[in-house]
Amino acid sequence: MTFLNGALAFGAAASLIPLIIHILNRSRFKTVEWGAMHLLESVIKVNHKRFRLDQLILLLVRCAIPVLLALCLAKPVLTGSRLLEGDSPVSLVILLDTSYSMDAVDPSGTRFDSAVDAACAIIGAASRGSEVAVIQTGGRPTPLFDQPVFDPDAVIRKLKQSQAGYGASDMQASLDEAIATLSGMSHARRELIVISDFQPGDWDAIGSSAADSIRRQVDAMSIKPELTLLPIGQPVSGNVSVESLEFPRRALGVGQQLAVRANVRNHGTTPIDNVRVILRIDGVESSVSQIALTASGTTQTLFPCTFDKAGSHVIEAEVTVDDPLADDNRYAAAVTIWDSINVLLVDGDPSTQPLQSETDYLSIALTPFTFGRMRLADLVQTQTILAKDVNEELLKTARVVVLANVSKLEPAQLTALTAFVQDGGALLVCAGNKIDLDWYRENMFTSGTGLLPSIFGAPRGKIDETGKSAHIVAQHFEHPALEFFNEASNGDLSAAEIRQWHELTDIDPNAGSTVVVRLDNGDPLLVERRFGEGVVMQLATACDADWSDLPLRPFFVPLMQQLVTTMASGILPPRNITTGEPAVAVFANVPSPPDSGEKVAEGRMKGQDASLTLSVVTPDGSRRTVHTLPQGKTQVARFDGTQRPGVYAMSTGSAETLHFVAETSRDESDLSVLNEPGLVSLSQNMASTLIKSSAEYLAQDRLRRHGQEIWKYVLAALLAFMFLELVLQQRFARVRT
Amino acid sequence: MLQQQDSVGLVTFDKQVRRYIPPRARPKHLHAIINELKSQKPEFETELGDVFHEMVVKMHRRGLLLIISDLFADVDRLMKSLAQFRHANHEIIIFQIWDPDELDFPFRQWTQFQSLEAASNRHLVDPAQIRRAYLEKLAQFRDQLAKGCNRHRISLVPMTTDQPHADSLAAYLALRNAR
Repeated sequence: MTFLNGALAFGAAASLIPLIIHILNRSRFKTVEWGAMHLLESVIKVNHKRFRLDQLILLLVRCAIPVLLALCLAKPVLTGSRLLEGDSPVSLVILLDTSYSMDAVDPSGTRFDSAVDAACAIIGAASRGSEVAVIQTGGRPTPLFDQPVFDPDAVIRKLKQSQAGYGASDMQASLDEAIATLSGMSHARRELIVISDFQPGDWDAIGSSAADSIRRQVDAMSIKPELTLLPIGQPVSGNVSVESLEFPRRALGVGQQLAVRANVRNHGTTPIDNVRVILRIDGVESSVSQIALTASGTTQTLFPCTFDKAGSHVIEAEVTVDDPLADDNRYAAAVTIWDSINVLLVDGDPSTQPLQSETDYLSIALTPFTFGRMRLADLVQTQTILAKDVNEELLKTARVVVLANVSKLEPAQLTALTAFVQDGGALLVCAGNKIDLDWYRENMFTSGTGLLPSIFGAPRGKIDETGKSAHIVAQHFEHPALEFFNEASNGDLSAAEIRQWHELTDIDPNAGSTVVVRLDNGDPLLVERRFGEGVVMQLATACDADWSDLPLRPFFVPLMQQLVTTMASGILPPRNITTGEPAVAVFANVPSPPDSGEKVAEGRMKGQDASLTLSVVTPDGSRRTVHTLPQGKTQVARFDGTQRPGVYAMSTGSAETLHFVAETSRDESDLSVLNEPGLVSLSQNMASTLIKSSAEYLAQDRLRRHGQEIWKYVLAALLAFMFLELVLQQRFARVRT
Repeated sequence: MLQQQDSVGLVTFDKQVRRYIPPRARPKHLHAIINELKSQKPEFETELGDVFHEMVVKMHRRGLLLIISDLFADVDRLMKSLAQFRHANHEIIIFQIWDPDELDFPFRQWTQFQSLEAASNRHLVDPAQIRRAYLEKLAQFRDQLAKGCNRHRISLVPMTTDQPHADSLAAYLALRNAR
């Protein structure tokens, strides 16, 4: 304990005054001659001992009064065993949950408003000279300012302008960021405050082991910060959200139908009838569906849609319902519609006879309308060339290259092909009787550093022995190109007879090589690996009818279409990203006059050697500028500020706008919060202090800084003793007669 | 009373009879009584019961007994003695003399009470602490006296030393004549 006005504590010496008065009174008495002594004596005789005790008690009470008065004036403060921190400045980091669940409306307003108010109150009460950092946890950890600042008013001003609505919080990463920020701050006293709605989805990920890890990290810091958890908001029920949009991820052409499945979840316990779900394409209402939502369940609704223009599009499903959280009532996805996909077929076994060339079946399968002389346009445009004609110029016009039973390539051709894939092209290598196994092993596999994901090994199977052929394993296909065949009505791949193939060896999963399709004897049939920005697929058998009856099967057309279009679409950096992931666009770095902005195939642009400047319109309508950086023969634009779910439109102003859609875990839509035991357990695991409001924090902070002032209690005791003295005086006068 | 040819006597006493002047009706007798009263100084302790018992024997003729005393004695013994007077058909009037402080107990500071009858008998007390108890004891004593006197048809006339005796006496006589 200590005193704010320590000198006044010496006033406690005034306790001697009643004692002195008592002694003086006893010594300076007057003598009275008294006649009625027998009356007086009888009273004294009966009460003698009691008089002495009463006098002692009264004396003690009277002595206590000046002591209490002195203590009261000295303002005593309880400090425990700690040293008081006083008004020393603090290094304060606030982790502010800005995930979209913070936009949920409580009776007192949105959770985020309450969180901002609490943060402002805490920052506003910080001592002069304190440094403050606020890290927004939504999407990915993002500091409010680039550096901790010493101007609390500036932080408060910016906080009041901030908004929630960002993606799910990665609390582990946020805590790591906060600890890193704290370790670079300057003051000896450090505070880390987490203000969040503490949704189970965010915090369950931080299990007891992760919490222990955080505690160890904190303990290992040279200056250990005080960790405080401040939960905001109450559980809210009745929320409805669009959980996801499901649609095939293959390349799509103009006029082709896309089936979009919207999953709508009712988080409430009451069924909801007649809920409208609207599908918009590029912001224009395309179709509407009316559905009934079961309690605590997910309902699907299917929207068929087509696109009449190539390029980047956005589809968005919105559920119109009055619920406590509007942010999750819509879900968007970016879709790229292709004019055409140029496929270069390199025929290693040409023939003048119909269907005898190595690529004849493949060409028909990829352009069925062209071959059928139908008025419908094919998405894929093929060009068949001989191996000797492969060159860099031709490769520039292609999106996908197929090497069909090509014996080998010249070194310059191989270099051009490698660059083509490296820069984002797709390559399908099909086996056959002409291929030079040694050349492929030495020049295209190159001990795992080349284009091929595996080595063409020894031939397997016999083309003459029917009945001993291998079949594709009937399985559930995970690869997007083959998902189409998980539906039995779309064809049974296992029906095809693979009579001869090459054993594919040295497949290294660590190098990114994966087996996409396997034969029933265990041999890989199709292997894939990403190479640079592109992708390579290696087929163990021939793409004509010599080694298998694949081309004769009805599913050959969709199989090759799916394979090629998926390869073509998969090479772009993804347009549908998770909040916090960068939005990346690749532009061809073709020397040309400035501002030409000429569009080339597959959404690439001709630009200039110098950096391109792009503008990005974010979901909240703000406009940002991004400069591209050269990467190989391309310019790469990278926009990192995708913490907020929604559509990000990236454009150069003169060329087509590219759309990126950032979505986040819809676990945030479950507006439940950790219950009291859960919070207590989390707090204990993290060795933190759990508080209920900013006022409680400030009270605890005052206690830490200045201790607990107890003068009010002392004053109450003083008044009580004064009253007690009066009562005792009256009571002690009532003695036995 | 002497003018009415009544005989008047005087007894002074403490623990025992100190001076006895037998009743006479002569006018000179008044001087003897006054001289005796003037010569007396209060001292020693008092024992009313024993003195009254002794006096009963000496007073053969019916008469009026005027007792001037503080009556600080055991009330029961006092009443028994007075009852003997009443049995001998004496009329008794008691003038009980009080110091006003004995009735009010007005002391505030620590006080040493010293007995008038025995100087060694002293008590140092906080008057505030015992005032209420003392006054209650006093009231109890006076009530006992009043009831005893009433029972034996004795007139008890309280008088205080701060008032002229003549006024108190006149007030009593006026009250007596009114009965």
